[in-house]
Amino acid sequence: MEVSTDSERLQKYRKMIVELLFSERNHICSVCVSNGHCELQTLAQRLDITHIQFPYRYPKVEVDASHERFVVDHNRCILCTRCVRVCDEIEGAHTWDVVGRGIEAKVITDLNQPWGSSDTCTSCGKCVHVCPTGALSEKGRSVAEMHKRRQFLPYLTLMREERG
Amino acid sequence: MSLRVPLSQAYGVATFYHFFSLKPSGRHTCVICLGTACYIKGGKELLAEAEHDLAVHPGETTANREVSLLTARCIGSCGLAPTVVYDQEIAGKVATESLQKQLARTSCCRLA
Repeated sequence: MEVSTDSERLQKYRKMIVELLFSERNHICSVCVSNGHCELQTLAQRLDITHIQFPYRYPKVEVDASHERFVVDHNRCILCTRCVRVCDEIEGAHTWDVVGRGIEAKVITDLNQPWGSSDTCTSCGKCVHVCPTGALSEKGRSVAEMHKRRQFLPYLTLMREERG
Repeated sequence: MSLRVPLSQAYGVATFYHFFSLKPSGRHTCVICLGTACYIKGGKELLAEAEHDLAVHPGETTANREVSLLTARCIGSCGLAPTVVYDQEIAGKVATESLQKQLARTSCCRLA
């Protein structure tokens, strides 16, 4: 059996999915903290996406800077739920989760309250560093200044497994 | 914390499923079906009428906590379209007038 993972048709569909991600919220790379270090941006560049064939939705979503050290900008969130998983599976706090469904869905902390008022958040920052876009960033970072450091993750899981 | 479930997870589940609500519901419920059959047969007019009569939007409860107005995707009684469910009781082939009457009856309870 021959399995094709890079046919023209597949490329078309991949492009379409990434374009849909862009059109869903407000991804404006030129003013984003993760400009140049963003997985979504890299993916779009790799797929040669120059424009979006779908109309932008321009939803009105908030930026929550209530946390002492971090900022969540829902405009940049693609709902990959990596923050939810790392917080639950690695940190064990389960501060993040997804609220609502479909187009209304968004990530929340605790009871849909400002991040800064969360009782369960340990401010460990793992969510910030696994976030593929500029949705989660460190406070004080300006355009293109947010570099994500993800090297600690495999190390952390390895150490936990060894301790069993 | 007696659920022994993280707060955010409880909140996420409660907002995902339509049978959970974070707002107290009214004494009566009026569910208007907006499935394809009901929609074509006048469900949206019924909804507009109910919204006007009760002065609430779908998913809301009247200020006196008497009636909650809800919508459904399909209740599986398409042969009776358009359908309205008043307090768990299905009414089929509902005309605007009978909806008005039913809602007025509920408002009588409100006065009592």
